[in-house]
Amino acid sequence: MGRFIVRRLLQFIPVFLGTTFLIYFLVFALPGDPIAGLTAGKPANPAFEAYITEQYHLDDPFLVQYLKYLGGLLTGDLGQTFSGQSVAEVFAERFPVTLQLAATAFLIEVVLGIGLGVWAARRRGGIVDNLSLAGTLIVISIPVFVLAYVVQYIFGVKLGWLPPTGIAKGWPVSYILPAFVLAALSLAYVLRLTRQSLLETFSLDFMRTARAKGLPGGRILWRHGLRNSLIPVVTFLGADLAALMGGAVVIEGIFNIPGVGQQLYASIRLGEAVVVVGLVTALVIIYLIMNLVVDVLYGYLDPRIRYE
Amino acid sequence: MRRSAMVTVAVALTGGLALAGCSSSGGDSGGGGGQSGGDFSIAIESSNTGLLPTNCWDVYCAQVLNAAYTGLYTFEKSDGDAYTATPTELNKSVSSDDAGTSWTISLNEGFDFSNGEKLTAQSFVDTWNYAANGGNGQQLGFVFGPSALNVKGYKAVSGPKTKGEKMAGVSVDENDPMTIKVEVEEPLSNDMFANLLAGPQIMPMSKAALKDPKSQNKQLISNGPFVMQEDATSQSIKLVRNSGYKGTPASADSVEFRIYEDGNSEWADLQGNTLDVVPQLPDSAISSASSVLGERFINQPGAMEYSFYGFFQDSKVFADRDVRVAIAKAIDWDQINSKIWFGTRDRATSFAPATIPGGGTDLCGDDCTFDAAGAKQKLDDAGGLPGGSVEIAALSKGKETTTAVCNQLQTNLGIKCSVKLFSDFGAYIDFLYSDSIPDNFIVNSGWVADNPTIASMIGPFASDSDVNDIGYSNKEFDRLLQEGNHATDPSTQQQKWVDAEKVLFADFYAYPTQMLNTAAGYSTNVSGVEINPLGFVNTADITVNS
Amino acid sequence: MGSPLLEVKDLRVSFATREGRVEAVNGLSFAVAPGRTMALLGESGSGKSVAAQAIMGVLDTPPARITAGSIRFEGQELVGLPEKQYRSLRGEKLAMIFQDALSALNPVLSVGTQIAEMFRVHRDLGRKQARAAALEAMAEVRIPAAAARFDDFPHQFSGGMRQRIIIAMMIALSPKVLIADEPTTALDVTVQAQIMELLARLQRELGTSLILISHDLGVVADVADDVTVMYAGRAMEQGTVADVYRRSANPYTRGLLESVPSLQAPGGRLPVIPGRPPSPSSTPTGCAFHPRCALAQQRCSDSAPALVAVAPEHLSRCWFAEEVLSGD
Repeated sequence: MGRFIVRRLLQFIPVFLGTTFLIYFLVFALPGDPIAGLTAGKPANPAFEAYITEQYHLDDPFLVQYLKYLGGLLTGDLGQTFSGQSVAEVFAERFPVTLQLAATAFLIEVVLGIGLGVWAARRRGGIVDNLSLAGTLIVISIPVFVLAYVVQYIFGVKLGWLPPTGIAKGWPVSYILPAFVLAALSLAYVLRLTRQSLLETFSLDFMRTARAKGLPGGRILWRHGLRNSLIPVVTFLGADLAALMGGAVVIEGIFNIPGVGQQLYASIRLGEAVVVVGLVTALVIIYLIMNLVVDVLYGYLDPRIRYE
Repeated sequence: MRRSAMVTVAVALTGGLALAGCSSSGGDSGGGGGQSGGDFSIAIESSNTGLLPTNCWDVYCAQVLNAAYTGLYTFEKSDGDAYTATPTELNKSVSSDDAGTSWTISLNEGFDFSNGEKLTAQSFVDTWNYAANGGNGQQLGFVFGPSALNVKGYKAVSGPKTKGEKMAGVSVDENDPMTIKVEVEEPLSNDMFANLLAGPQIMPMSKAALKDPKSQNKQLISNGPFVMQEDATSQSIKLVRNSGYKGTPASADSVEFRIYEDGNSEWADLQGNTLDVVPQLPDSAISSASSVLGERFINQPGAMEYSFYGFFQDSKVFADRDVRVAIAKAIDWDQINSKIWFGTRDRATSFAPATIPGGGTDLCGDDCTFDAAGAKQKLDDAGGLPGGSVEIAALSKGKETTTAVCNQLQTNLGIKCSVKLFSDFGAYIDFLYSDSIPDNFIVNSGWVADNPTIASMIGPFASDSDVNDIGYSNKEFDRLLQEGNHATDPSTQQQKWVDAEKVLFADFYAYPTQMLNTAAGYSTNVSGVEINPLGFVNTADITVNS
Repeated sequence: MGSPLLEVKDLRVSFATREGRVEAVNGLSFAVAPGRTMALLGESGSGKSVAAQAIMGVLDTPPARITAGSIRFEGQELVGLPEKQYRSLRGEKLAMIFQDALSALNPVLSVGTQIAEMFRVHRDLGRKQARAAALEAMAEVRIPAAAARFDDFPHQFSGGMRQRIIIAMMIALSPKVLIADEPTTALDVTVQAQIMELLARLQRELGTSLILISHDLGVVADVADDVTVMYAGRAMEQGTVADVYRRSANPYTRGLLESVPSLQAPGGRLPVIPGRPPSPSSTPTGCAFHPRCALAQQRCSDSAPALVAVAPEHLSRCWFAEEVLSGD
């Protein structure tokens, strides 16, 4: 297992290099004059243009630009926002917010998703089962931003039960609406996955053995049924948490949550290319780490998997 | 001067950036003279320039700086509907020699900085030099360059690596530390000099701020009716009333500038009355703003921003003027403005609205008047449209309008019309300056003025303008514009500029299609909310309801 | 025979299928005395596993249902018994081991945990004590290095070892009745012998009654005292092994016996019973075996014969039982 982890960590390096290159390429090498985007329509003041060209090495061939950026990265300089804040500082400021949002959403999808999924599987064909299936189908079909606006309008503006934007009221009050919308789609998947997996597990032989052993129903469900059927659910949840960390750009924008996603939204709009590259790279690393954690966890959950 | 509305990237859902140019608060206030106390909030978006007066060229950072600083000018209504650059309480007097090239600005005492530093003429001189030195990378350095004030000695300091140099033409009067002397290369009238300093305005900075400009984003040092007490964050900038302010004090106790990325969240908060002022309502709010806000919906005509259609001079398709006019006459802008923009845009009859001195007249006349039958007749008489089809550019914000225009052209003129969508402004500019522009392409762009002068509105059509996207060139237009810019007599100046406008309409390679309004809103918590045509909220005069 | 420990009377179990309800067990009756081994012998589809699961009460009850009959254990009626009481019997008094030990064990729990579970649930022992008891059980079934292997997982054992684990689990509480559903079918011959020998020993030591379900005539002959030959969900012949094997009174049983390859008489074609056993949804009218029976007459398809004694404690369901018996 140790060697496995080390190997995976080493694999981070080419992935990291490849990703930064790709993102850098996407941001800098695509058509569109970066200065025009930067100055957003203001006449190019020659002195300013020269300054920016110098600052971002825009005159250098692309590869040279990239290598200079990479050099900066290795010395810990991730670049700066236009207002002079270092990207590392921005990330340190914003990531905890995104983390809170992601954690809240995760909690919702775990508790509700697994809870309702189990209930639906146990009382198959019952009212919870049918409502869950219908509800999840609706959520999967509606685009997330539509759901966000609707939820924000109904609960935030019209009813006023929860703040429609911002984190002024702190955790958990300000995070409930955005976390719920963020969790909604995953919740639907977790619910259906849990239900399906559990139903399949019910028909497996060892469940009959457990019954033959005279074990109480609750124990059979939790210890035998869920332990097995949750394996695919856990792997989904792990990947989902990794994605959540990415800072849901749309949700953070709509609910004005000052997390990493919102910063990305702003930086793309403002044309702050280095910030975009820096933040996305950081998120890629987090995603890779989460995936590794999930894989290791999977090895513990299912002893049939052996890593070398 | 800069391009407008089309500016926002496809991702952003807010209304277009309104205007640049700065107007400082602290002038004579109408109602709400006393201090109401209380706190209120204003929505802004994140700015890529930071809170540096020498670099701030968008409406967001300027909103904050206008509240925090007192500069030399504000924009106020003079007579009628027109706004002019009006001296602030700091600005004692401004005069020039007869030639209009030697200027003297006298300052009043007492408008000192929040860190205790005294504001003197030196503050202005140092700040202006900092802006002009190319090596500092400050966007507003051009104000002292040939396209604006054209200060003596600018060239020497404006090189890309120059730092810490002084412009020969800017100095402190040796006899009076509160007087600034400015020497410019070409004559300017009083109004022109004032306008060039007023929009975009560079507020005077303290020595401490000039030494550590980056710190200003967190800890702003300023001299205006509001000052910063607690550090600014990337979500909120809070300013409190400056108790030591020598000018007319602000009414409220504090103002919070809340940074939003999505105009729709601003709208959500405004409806819930948890946000007090939205200076730019998002497009999605416009249809319901009137019914939801009632009197708290501000829909002011004459924002200094217009949209225009442009034709390339070398295009064979649009070579005949009658063809161009036919296209103009075939579009019913009144209908589009009412149905799609809910009355927040007006049909344009000249390049300058009535809020600009000399503007608001109908210079276009019949050529801009909607007449479907007449347009068709004109087109037929001209022999039809070569190629029979046109392509009009649009960014995502303008998609609905441009589609409606295309439908009208198809119906009224019987020509084919398609919309060419661009994902963002950078891509659009790239395309406009590339070699692959089809002959039947109609440029769809906009413009935002920096100050209320006709020159600022028609600037992009000068041959040497960096932002002349349609490559329009007419020597007579250039000449008239320059003569107007450097006329010392006000009525001559106006006349020259109007004549320049007439040249544009005579050529008809570009014509204004819509004049934008200011569409803003405020909550039930505040009153006395005023916004000038450049999009600036008069924060000092807003009163908080008790 | 003294009073039977387990008595099944006229058991009927039906399944819901797309064609409607079908009878998997169609009027089965047998009895098991304490300490004796009863074999349920039959081909696949004869309903023997279903009957076993019905006795244990572990049928999948939405599709399957006991529609009639009685199952009495120690005089107590099990059909319709409230689940809570039934549960206290399972594992404690009634136990069952299965054919495929790998799928019968929970793959993500260690084998030790699964065995110890019996003690923790039924005897309320703490973790340490349950572990000790489980180790004892593992030793009973001769699992080598039990302590070392306590924390291993099912997939880490061989087939034979896994079966021992299941047996350890199920005899841990010294049940009165152990049902073994094809316990050796999935194992190779040498291991088979070991397992059967283990079962026999445990039976002797604990005095457990064994119900052995099998299609293997040889295993049944070795191990069972009594045998019930099943076909299409009902008993065709019942009696001691000696009676049924040496003095068969049923054409089906005869057919089975004749189709077993014998080392004594090699060569020649192996006689097989023509045709195939019927599926539960299409049971023939009258005697279920008549389409395949060499002795079948009109009578056999008209009406189903009842189970009739041809000798003391020897029953056969055939219109021509006497003839089969004597026509040796």
